[in-house]
Amino acid sequence: MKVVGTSPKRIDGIEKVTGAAQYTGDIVLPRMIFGKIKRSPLAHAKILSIDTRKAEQVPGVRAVITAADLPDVRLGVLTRDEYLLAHDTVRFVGEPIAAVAADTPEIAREACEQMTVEYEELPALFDPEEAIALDPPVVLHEDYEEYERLIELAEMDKRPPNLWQAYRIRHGDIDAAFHTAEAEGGFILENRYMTGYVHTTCMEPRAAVAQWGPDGTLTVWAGGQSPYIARDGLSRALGLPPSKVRVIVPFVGGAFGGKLTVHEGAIAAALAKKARRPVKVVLTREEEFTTTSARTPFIFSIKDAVSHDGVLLGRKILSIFWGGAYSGEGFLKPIFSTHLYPGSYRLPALWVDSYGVYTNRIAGGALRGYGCAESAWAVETQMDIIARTCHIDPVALRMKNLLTEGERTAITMPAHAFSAHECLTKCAEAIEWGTPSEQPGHPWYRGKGIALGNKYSFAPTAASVDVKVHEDNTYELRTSAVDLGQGAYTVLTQIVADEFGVEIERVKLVTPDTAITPFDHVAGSSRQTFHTGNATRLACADATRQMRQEAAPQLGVDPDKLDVSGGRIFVKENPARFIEVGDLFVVEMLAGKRPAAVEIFGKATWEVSASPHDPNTGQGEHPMAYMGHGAQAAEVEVNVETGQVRVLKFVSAIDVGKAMNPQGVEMQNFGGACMGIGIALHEEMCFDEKGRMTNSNLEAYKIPTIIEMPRSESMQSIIVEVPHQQGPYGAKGAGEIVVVPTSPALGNAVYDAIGVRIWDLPLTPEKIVKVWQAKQREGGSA
Amino acid sequence: MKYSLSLTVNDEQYNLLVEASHTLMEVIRDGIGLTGTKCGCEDGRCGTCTVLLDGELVKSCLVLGLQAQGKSVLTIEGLGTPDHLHPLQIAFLEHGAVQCGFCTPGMLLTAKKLLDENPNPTEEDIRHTLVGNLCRCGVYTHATRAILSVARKS
Repeated sequence: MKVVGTSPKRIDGIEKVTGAAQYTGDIVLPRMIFGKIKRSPLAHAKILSIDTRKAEQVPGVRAVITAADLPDVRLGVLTRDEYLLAHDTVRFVGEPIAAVAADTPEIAREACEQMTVEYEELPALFDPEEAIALDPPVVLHEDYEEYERLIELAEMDKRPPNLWQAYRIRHGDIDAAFHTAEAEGGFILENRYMTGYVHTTCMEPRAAVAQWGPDGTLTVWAGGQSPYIARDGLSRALGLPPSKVRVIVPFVGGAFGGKLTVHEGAIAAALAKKARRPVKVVLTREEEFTTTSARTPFIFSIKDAVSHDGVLLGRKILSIFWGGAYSGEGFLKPIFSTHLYPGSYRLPALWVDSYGVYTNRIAGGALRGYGCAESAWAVETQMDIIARTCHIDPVALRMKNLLTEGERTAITMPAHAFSAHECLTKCAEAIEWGTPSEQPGHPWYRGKGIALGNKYSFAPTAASVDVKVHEDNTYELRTSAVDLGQGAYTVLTQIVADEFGVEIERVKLVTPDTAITPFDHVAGSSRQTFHTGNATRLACADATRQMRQEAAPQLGVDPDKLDVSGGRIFVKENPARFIEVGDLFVVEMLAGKRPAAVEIFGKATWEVSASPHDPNTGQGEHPMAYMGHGAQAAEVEVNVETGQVRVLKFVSAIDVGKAMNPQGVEMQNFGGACMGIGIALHEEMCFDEKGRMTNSNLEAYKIPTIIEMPRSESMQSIIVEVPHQQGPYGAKGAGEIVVVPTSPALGNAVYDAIGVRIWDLPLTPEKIVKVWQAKQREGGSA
Repeated sequence: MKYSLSLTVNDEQYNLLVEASHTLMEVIRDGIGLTGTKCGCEDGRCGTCTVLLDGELVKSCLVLGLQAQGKSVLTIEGLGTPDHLHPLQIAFLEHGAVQCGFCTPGMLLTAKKLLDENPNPTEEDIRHTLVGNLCRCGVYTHATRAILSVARKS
């Protein structure tokens, strides 16, 4: 019996379909009150004074806090540039300034309105290309040089004052590549691309509940992506030793990168301390949009040197990450976004400068694909243009330039489990690549597009797992890996079932709680199946080792002659000689029987080290844990009069090494397509000239509904399995690669349909009509 | 000021005192303590608070609690229990239509209403009915398959 590789019903499913699943916002504690956050209405201002007296007098208010109630520490993962509550300066609309806890959320909101904050408005800076200047009109962080920084920037003569990240790749001779292209009949292709201003938009808004124990221990319930990152953040923000902070992760209503930090948890905790009561903070939808993780844009300038027959000779990229007021959850994006460039294609020369800058907007954060979904927009559109420029089929052009297994990439690290050929081939077959779309007639035009993608999983990283064996042949998995909806709990449970040779029902899960479950880095970077999966296997092996050890005297053979499966410890050569798991636990201690095993408790840590990121060259033998590959293709129809784009068919072929749960992979494939369609076609955060978001609701910021998806028979998920030598059972992650090729696949399909390019995401009707009309004026036709 | 409210939720009678300004969603979640009805936006756009009020689909954040006086509400907790799941609940699990689960209660109740009125819907019917239930995990394709499978069985 094997459970890995099958698709059992998700183990948290019954709770979810019956409404029993408890999310953070559902938690009610005795004497619990409610917190609300007072936020800046200005994009950039000095705070002259905060008067909380009127707020404190509102009946029902139990506590009001400002920065004065908190330790004077700056937060931030690798650059400590942000206060939990603003000190003397606010740098984006929505920045927290103060908070109130009251008997009802309404009273807390009213008290926030009763607070008087005096500001001196400062000029604001929104344009990233202005921000990166050596002499910018506004400097956001005058004290930057004093900030604690845990990461080196690339060397430069003078740091532009708004720059917080700089990373480079240097490989081969890029100037020689351009020279060769020109001298030998090839060509140079240079374009500028921009990705959209999009938001994670989890259905569950961020929330936290905080409660202090009599011994000064803080417990925070927060549906985040990492209880340990949350614990460390709370510990730092509140000046508590980590052992005094307990983080419990209830059910999580989606995260996608948007629930890495736990700022509202720290605010709830500070309020709870002052009010001496438990406090719940639940963000409104507007607060979600205006103050939590946004995928802010990248601007890419790409210049390619290509031979006459479509071989890449060199690629030069300048990218600017449009960061917001703080480095936030996007702290590593300027680095990690560059991992895509060497990941798929052979590049004799690669030159990359990648920067992150501050502007007076919401901090740039994580959103599924962490930089690679953005760089794929530029690279895979560029590949389509190269193919068309040299009259080579776009699939053939890509095939021609792909790496091969074991080949060193342009950042030194060899390609491993390199499955791009297979993903591309299967994807092209499924979309009937080469067969032109049937044309419905003006004003609708149809076309097909394809794109490739890759997604690194970061390193160094680690995961620990505990497995407790119960005398009733039940196996308890304790993990801090979080199920955000992607199915981690089910996959890890499947592993335990197989490692002990039992039905999945015999595995019990203890969900993330830092008081009980061991360290796991984060539910992010498509890493849990890979790392926590490996840790789970090792913890199970540790438990079975102990079981064999304890059983050996009873069976009179050496432990290594024993095996464990199906609740029995048996002699390998004679399975009829066995004892039951329960025989290891003799419980009649008072009757004088010595317990064979008081406790069988398997433990393991899986750790992946990495070669350091060299910010000046980007070179490294092993700068990431692994790299996954995938291809996506779409058939679309475009109405050139209204600009509407309908996705008729969508194919996603991704390599997961080993499909631990094939239905789960399909769910990622279709879910990624859905999110990717929204990001490519219509999602866009809009801001006015004062830096205020103008569409912070679900009507105006439009995530896909069921109508935007192709009909169910036109969605196709293809699983490719090229095993990774380090993956558990060969597996790689699936969570992010499914949105990496989506935007360029759709953009290339729009081009195929109407023969015009749009360089900046999203591909809105307005842009489509505009470029179409411009083309008509120039005398072109579809 | 609080007013008395009598209503039936999942066949149980409740007599409560509620603020006039409180929505049906708040009454269900905070007053009665049934938290399967979710709150994703408070302005009727996400669909996670969908319930059936006297058999009609409503977004409970757009209905005042007092408007439910004397009426009957079905929430996700009344659709089925772990021992007696509704066929749609089983189908959603079998077809992989549940990811994070936050939209699931609203989507299931919307699907129930659809099948009650139209036991044999086309995919187009499903698309038009589910358009008010947003899902960021993107379970739409699997939810369509799940609903079609229940329709075929009945």
